[in-house]
Amino acid sequence: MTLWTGLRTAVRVNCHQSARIRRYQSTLTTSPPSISPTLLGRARALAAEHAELSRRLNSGYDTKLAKKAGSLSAVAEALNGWEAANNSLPELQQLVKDQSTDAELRSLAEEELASTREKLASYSKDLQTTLVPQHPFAEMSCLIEIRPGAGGDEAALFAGDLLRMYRDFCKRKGLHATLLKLDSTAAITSEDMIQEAILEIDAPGTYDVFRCEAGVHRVQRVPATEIKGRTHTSAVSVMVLPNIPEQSGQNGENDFDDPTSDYFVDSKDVRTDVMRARGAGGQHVNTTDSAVRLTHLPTNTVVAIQDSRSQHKNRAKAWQVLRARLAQARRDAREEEIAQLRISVVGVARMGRENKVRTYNWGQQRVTDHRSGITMHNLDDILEGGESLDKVMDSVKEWLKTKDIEALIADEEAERTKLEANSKKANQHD
Amino acid sequence: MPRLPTSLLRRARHEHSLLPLLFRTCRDLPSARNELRWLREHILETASPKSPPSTRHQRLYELCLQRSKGKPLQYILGSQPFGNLEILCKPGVLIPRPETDLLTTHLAQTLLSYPPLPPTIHILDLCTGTGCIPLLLHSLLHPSIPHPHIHIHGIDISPLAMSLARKNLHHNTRHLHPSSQISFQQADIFDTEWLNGIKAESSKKWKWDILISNPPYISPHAFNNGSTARSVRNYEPKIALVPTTPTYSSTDAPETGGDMFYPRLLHIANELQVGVFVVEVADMAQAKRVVGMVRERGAWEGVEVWRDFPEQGGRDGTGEVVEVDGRDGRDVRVRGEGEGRAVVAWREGWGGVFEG
Ligand SMILES: C[S@@+](CC[C@H](N)C(=O)[O-])C[C@H]1O[C@@H](n2cnc3c(N)ncnc32)[C@H](O)[C@@H]1O
Repeated sequence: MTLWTGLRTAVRVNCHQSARIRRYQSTLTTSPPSISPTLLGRARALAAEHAELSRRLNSGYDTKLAKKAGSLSAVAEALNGWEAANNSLPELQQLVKDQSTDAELRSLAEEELASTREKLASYSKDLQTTLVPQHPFAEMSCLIEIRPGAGGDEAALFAGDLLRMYRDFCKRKGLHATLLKLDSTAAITSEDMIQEAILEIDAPGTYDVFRCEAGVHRVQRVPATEIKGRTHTSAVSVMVLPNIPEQSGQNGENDFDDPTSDYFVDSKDVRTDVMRARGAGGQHVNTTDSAVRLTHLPTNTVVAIQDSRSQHKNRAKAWQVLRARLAQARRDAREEEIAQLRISVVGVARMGRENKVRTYNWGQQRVTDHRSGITMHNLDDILEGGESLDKVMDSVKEWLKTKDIEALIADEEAERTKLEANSKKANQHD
Repeated sequence: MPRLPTSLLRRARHEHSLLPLLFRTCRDLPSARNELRWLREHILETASPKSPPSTRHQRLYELCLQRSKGKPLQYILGSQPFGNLEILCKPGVLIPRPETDLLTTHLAQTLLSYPPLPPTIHILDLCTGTGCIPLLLHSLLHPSIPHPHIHIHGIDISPLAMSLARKNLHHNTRHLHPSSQISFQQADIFDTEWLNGIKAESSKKWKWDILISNPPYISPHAFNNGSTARSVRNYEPKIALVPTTPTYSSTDAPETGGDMFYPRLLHIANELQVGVFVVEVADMAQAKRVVGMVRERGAWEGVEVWRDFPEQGGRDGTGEVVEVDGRDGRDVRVRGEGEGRAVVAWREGWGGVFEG
């Protein structure tokens, strides 16, 4: 039961982590008009780069440069605003403090000071947002994989609940969602008891919408079959994968044929197995087996699809899922690597998708997200994909953002420490 | 047929009352589940929305009952996916097999991996049945050829097959190129007049480039000894499975009783001077016998055997060439994994396509 071991370590990491989160959040809520000097330094460097790019663009157009400059212009703009506001601050403060300022001017200055502080706060927020790089899959559509963990039938039923929740959510938002794969433990109303379901959400940008849903979702309720009325706990794992477009895009990272890209899958590495007819095959039998199983040999990633009567369609779907899983796994590995560096330098841990992220408690009719700390008491609305689910998801997105900013600061600091160490070494050599 | 374990049957019944019926034919639970789901979907798609659930359930029960007696699912549902196509199926005409699907797909890929494929191609499919091979070949080839003129001619002795093939042509038009031609003709390929006719048709201006065929290849012996499934024997046309020709007599060796069509197919290929000859076979033993026939005739520059999965296995997992002893002591190249499934021969000028 690998999931259980996963859960146990998850809980441990989580306690230790939530202390950090709380501390971080408390500094955020007081929201001082100042911004971390580290971030400011980074913003200045990027703004300088933007200025340089603009200068070069003036003397000759280049799509690549223009694209880069475009992506930096938001940082430059926010920084400009922040600096303008920040520069006018001392003068205003002086005016307000100065006894000789006449009453009318002082009241004007006080108003001005208040609005400048507001601007400062809003620009620092902008700065933070623009500094955090967009997730590389953010603009893609996505696949949501739902799989029961420990807990037998209860987990399978809860997996069905989650599937319904996401489908309803999509319906309400006008997002097109189709079941790409459904393995059910029951032959009848199969969407209730799930062994594995993959929902394809076919709209660009939905990866970013659902990214916050990845992780272990836990249910606490009394199963219908439980005579003594005891509450059971079971878990379902949700994975959110990038749905890679059929055609490779122009931006390098989307490239199927580029061996260095996250999306590249060498067909030589993939073994295809189809159900073989027993015996001679060919004209001797008229089997209906259409299952296709792909195995990515280097990583031993296995995808099996048997939903359609068409082997051709099953194969296409299996490739779609395989590509998505590999791209996500590669991204995870990369993030893990960076996170390890961060831990070694500044001790900021990362929350992996193996962690328990949310609890749905039937008895108390509540849902708690363990990352943002939000608790909502309208379980039904959440399970119907209603606006309460928006609130939960939004809170997690906020949390993700603060984590990203935290990580950014950590990276900058690590970078600085490295530079300092290097220059010290250099000095020693002198 | 071994009895199914009662415990499994009980489990199936627990899941759905109709599952044990399907289980009887499918022999394993996942397939039975899939078939039940496809049957239910079929009923939802075809039933009038006003029909009460009880009628629908009754209908589902009837279909499961038919299936439990061995009626092929493809005849019940009326179709079989073949590559990216949907081929209509009817009792009286052989259901297209996944092996034929893979063979046709691999042939198309092989042809396309040889860049200077001429824009005009003539393909002859003998014993075409539902017309599945011409339709799939066409749909796979035309998107990669600029201004394609792909002429495909399908022949079958069965009038039922010919009318179904024409329906299938119509059913799949959206996968086909408008400027190309696919035609079907009812004929006996052993008929000399027919051969003369088709020979006259190909003039000096053009030749048949490819002859492909999935002829009846099961020997009377293999038809009755248990290696042919009950559902096939009871529900599919015997004329599509077991060769019946004037030259066959029951005193012939039992194992070669399925070979009757290959000499005739080779003869036609020689008369028409086709560039590429592709025939499906039952197994490796038959494949080797057909290779022997090809070599006897000379005229062919190369010949090889494709297994069920020609692209798999081999030295680096790409279906690399494997050497096997031929019947006459000469080596035969065999590609891929699985059962021996096709013999491919080519004339001068086509070696570049197949030897790569
Ligand atoms: C094995 S089925 C192949 C059908 C189809 N090509 C496929 O792959 O599904 C053989 C076909 O050969 C046809 N056939 C049998 N004897 C024939 C003959 N003498 N001339 C032409 N067709 C014949 C049968 O009617 C049957 O449709």
